[in-house]
Amino acid sequence: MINKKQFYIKSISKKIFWTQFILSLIFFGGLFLGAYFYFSGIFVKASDINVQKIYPPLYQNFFNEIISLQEPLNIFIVPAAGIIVLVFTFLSWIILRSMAKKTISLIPVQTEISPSKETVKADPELEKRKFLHILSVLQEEGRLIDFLNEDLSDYNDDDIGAAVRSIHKGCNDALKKYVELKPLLDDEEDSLIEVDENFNPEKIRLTGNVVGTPPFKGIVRHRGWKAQNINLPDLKKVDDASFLVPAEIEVE
Amino acid sequence: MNANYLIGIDLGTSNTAVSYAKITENDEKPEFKIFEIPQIVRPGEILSRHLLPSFIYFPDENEKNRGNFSLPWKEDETFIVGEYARKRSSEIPSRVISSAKSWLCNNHVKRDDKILPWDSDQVSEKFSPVRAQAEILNHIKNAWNHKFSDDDNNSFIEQNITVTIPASFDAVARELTLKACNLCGIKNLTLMEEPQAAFYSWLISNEETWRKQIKKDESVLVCDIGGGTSDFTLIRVFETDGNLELERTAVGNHLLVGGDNMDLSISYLINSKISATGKKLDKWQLRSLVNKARDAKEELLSDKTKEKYEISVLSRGMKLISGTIKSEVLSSELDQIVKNGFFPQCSLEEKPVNNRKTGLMEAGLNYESDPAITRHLAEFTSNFASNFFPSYILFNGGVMKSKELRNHITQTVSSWNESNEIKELENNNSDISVALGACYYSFIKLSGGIRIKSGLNKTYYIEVSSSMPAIPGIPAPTKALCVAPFGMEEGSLIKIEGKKYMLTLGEDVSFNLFESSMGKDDKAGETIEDFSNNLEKLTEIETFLNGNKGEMVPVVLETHVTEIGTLEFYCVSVEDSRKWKLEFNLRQQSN
Repeated sequence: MINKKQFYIKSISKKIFWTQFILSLIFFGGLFLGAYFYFSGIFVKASDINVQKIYPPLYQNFFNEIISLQEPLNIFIVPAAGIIVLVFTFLSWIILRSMAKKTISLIPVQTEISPSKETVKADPELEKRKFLHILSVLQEEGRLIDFLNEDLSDYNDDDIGAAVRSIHKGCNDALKKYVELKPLLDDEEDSLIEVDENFNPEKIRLTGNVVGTPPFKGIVRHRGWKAQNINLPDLKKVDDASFLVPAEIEVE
Repeated sequence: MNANYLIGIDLGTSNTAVSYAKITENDEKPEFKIFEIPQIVRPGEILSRHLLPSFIYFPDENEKNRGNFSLPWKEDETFIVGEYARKRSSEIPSRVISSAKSWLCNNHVKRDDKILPWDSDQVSEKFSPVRAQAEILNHIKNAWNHKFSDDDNNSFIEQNITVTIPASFDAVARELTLKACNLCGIKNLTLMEEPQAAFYSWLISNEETWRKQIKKDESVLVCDIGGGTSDFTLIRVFETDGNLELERTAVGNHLLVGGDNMDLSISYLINSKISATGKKLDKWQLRSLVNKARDAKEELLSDKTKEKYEISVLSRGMKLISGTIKSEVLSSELDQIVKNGFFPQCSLEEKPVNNRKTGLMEAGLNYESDPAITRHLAEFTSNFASNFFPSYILFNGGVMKSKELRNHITQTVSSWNESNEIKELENNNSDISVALGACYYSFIKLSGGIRIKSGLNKTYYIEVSSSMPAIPGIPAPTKALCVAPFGMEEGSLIKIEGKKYMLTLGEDVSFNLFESSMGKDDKAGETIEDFSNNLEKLTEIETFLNGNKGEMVPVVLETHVTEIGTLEFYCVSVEDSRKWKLEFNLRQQSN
């Protein structure tokens, strides 16, 4: 996810730049074109001997100087116009951009709702990957799938025990990266507790001789589990989510 | 721009941790938090973890550009930092950079060259050790900016950042760390020594009571044993005008030995046992054995009632159970390796055994020739603490999680001085205490509070020719001139007036720079006649003297310790205001 405000500023600053560039090109282009033709007229007049004759010879130097300006003007008018266009574009861009930045920073940050939800729904492959993800983690770090796939009747308990030691540690360490598992009830197992009338059936499941309405007294047979401090991974879409763990090929 | 946050970064050899705290308006003590760092943990999966393994992996062409290694802030998939990179380091070592930090103080290579991954031609563009460190910092920077993107003032490089380094890092390694931070763009930087940070972390939880726990004229030995390095520091308590003050009075040598070496030794033992039964482990199983060795070490050291730790190495293929190889480590064997090999009981007079000159040194990182950490500790203690023997010991680093081992070391150190029993100061979260302490330190710097007086960690010398008459055919005798004394304060400068040089402009000038952890009492400007055995050649400091070619200028040397904590040298003209900065030579040093 890119920061939205920065994205707005980026896109608007580009637009501002080009608008300003075209506007100043038209404006200064016109201005310089007009100036060019106006001065060309003067040069023609100044180099006209008949016009010069009207004025006293004292002005002769002045005319020569005007004529000598003609060549530099022809050379420099285009680059000069270009530079002015660029400078003006740049200055006005900076000013307008900072104004735009200010305005954008005032807009409250919107939480993104629609796009992410839609893409999740629209992408069964990613849904599949999310469902299978914990399996690949447990295989990669604890070899759980390999273990479940073994036919235990082929082995004696000692051999199974040895393998389990390693699998147990690997799977446990892997799970801890994602979630902290805690008993759901604080009460010890085999202790007598009271279940009040508004108990949550998602938290407590009654068994045995349940007659009448709560409150009930009962013995804790299992404390239940809850997941806390869940550390959600950010999963990328893959070509085929059914590839749980890649095959390993060692190049000799 | 004003910083909103204080950030402490423990830029470790094997793991990096980051702590942060919001700057409060009236200098109230903020909450020090751990920054959870998102990183790639397997292809296509990003998970936040409080440690970022200091590994860099370069995926190959087929793996790249499928989106599996892109991060929310970085589409480019040339390399990745973190947990998956560490995993790959045991699978494809030639495509992974590890321990970049250890390379910063290795003067047998050209340290600003693109040399990592070491000894590999698999990667299209290699990194210099400095660049590698900078990329780890960049990962943290981008992760931070991604999390705190709502306000421009939260931008990482604008915050108050403290990066920790080993206390024993020499001037060049500090300079290179600074370079890495500059590459990352950090603006308000402080470098801080790791053992001190660990001590500050202890202070956070004992802020109110530490004055009752530690008394005047007592001292604390900080023993920081990381994965690859060990670091000792002595902090003393003084009383000035009725107030207690702390001063870091000594720093040990840079020791390249740590927990990883222990795991490796234990895995050798297990492997030899397995080989004796006629079975053979392949390369992949051998690497997984090192992790099992670590588990065995942690388990057996933490639970004294256990007599053995059973080890099973799973087969590599799908036939899991039939291929599983069983072995075990006995508690007595582990004690033999760890306690007798790495922490033997020894007397205060014992010195580390140096057999480096006899053996062939492996190219690349040079590991310590004597792995006995207690012997190094004995040497350190007898050199620096014989007059004020430590009353307290603070442990840090992964290996020191074991209470058994901490007690063992505490007993060994206690046995060195019968009149003084040494007590342990408790360090509760050794994984993150250095990062926390660094963040706490920057809070104290800002708001006031007890600070450890420290300054320069070593004494530095240059080689000067002796005034003895030269004898033809024999090299002119030289002596060492102290140019930067131990404890020289940050932000101070010293001019070495006593020694004037006539230098020719338009030419290169170069001085041999030496360092010593022992020359604590030498003052700037003092000379040592016979130094070849006491001092260690660090590198050269050199510059090109800009100016009119051939002009002769009388100069003296000037030493600066910057506010950040790095060392700088200048040639300063005696006649006018011209000065030339001398740079550290990073080329390979011959020994």
